[in-house]
Amino acid sequence: MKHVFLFLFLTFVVFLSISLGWDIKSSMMIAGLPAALYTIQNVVTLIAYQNLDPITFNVLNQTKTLSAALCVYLLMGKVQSQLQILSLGILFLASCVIEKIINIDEIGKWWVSKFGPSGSTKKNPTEPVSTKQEAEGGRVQPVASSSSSTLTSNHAQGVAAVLTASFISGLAGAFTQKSLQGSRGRNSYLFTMELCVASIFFLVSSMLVNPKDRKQLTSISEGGFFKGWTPQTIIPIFTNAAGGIIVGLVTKYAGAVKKGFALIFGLLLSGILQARMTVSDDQDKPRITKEQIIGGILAAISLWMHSAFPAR
Amino acid sequence: MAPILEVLGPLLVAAFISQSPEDQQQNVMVSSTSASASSSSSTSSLTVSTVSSSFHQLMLNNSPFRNSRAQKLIHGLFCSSSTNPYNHLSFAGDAAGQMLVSGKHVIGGGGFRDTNSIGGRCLYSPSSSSSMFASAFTPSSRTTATARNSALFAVAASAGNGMIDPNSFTHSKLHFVTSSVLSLVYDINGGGSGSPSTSPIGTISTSLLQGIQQNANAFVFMVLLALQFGLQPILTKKFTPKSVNRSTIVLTQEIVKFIAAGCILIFTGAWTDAFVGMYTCMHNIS
Repeated sequence: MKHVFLFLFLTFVVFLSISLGWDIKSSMMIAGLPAALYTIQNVVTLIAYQNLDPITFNVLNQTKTLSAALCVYLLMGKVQSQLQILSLGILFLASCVIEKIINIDEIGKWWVSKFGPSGSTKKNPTEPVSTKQEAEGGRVQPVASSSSSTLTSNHAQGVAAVLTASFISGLAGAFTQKSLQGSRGRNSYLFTMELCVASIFFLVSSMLVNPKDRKQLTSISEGGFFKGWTPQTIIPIFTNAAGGIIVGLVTKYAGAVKKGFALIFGLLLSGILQARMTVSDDQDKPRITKEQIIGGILAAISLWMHSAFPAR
Repeated sequence: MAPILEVLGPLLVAAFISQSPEDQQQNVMVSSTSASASSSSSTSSLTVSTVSSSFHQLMLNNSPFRNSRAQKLIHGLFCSSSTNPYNHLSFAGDAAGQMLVSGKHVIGGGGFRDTNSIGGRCLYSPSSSSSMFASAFTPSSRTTATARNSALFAVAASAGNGMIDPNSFTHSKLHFVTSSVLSLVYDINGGGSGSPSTSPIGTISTSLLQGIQQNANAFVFMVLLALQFGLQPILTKKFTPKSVNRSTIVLTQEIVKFIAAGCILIFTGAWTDAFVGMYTCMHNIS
């Protein structure tokens, strides 16, 4: 069976080489490194998906813009506009808020004491803070007070994964841009296909060579390729693939700015769905926290600003 | 008689079209009855000229379909008379969108049929050589050539025998449509007692239609992207068990993406172009 696949693959390569002027060497030179990076990114993204709330994932995943800006600057010397740099700062802020590195309760208190109505905090000096916050934010208070305890190991793993994926995404994007520099004629779908082939190659090679990954190969040979799958597992796989194609179509037909708007609405949608549909593991924990709301808003502003004010 | 004409019609057109491109150009230039009108897009124009008592020749200049894939194009010339509109002569119509219009490539139509059976028998040639009229173009045929800057049509008809004399038909309509983006409609006055002429039907603006179509496409894609972006984390978290072998998921993802991208390339007719573009760019770089 293995030999049949190899034969078919080689026949396909030879066919492309002879009939269409395509050659595997140039393809691997252009797609090889990005594909290796995308393969790692895909795996860690999956870990992040499995361990994070939708809105947390989507906001933190946007930090790939930060890494892309940095990598493109380092590799190609391409600079960002001032507003884009500001938007990246806002994005960083959004990430810090959503991860509670910046405590918005403290900021809120400071803001009220500094700019709020004079004496507003002195009217009921004996009023417990928790009562006031319950009145303002319903069930928010218990979460805010236990913010450190909610950072479970799963969550930490998810955050580490999404940040890694974002960094790799920016790096791979910059490499791709550099590889394709000057080759304006390269079709994006063809390049996607090349990346896919290279990714599959790296993934299978890794499973064959890397002792740690070889366990996965053993697991596949013992339990079958679809071990642990459910019939619905294919749904996110298809939506993921469709997403990649749709992004290209939006960029082509609507431009980068409108793509930014679409992502903002997507962010909003994930927030609404998370608030309405998902079930929180912890009954005391609200489905959507104020950190996620504020982080989402900041990320949306950043997305708009970054796409609307490109460098000239 | 009609079956004979059905056979002879294409041959007559073939005989005309098999002249060299230079000859065809000369026909256009020497024609004293040519008239032209610009389309609403202001860059395209359609010229009609009388070549002989049996032929009218149409030239679409600055075709808005240039660089479009031929499979995407639907071209039809629907000729009519005041007594029996759209019922006597169908020409170069191809409802399935398989007709080729391309620069010096010539399309002739000989399908003397009801327009109800648009598509008739359309003849086309893939080259500009004198032996261009090799075979009949059938609706099932496909071509991969790309439309270029201008297109030349030949209108053939025989007077009498139930057919329309090209010098007497009126209110004919030439409708160029791509499957999704462009639409151009010309009203063609066959001449009759006067000169043949063309005029764009102003109600359909190519640029406007193009804008509307593109906006509609853009809006749909934006909605889809927002949905995908918003739903992806929820779907993945819900339907991907933690116990699953992640490599199998990523591997399947790559295979699905590969197939999807390949299908798009094939079904949009961009497969060959993708490689040609790559080759060209590589050639330019070197």
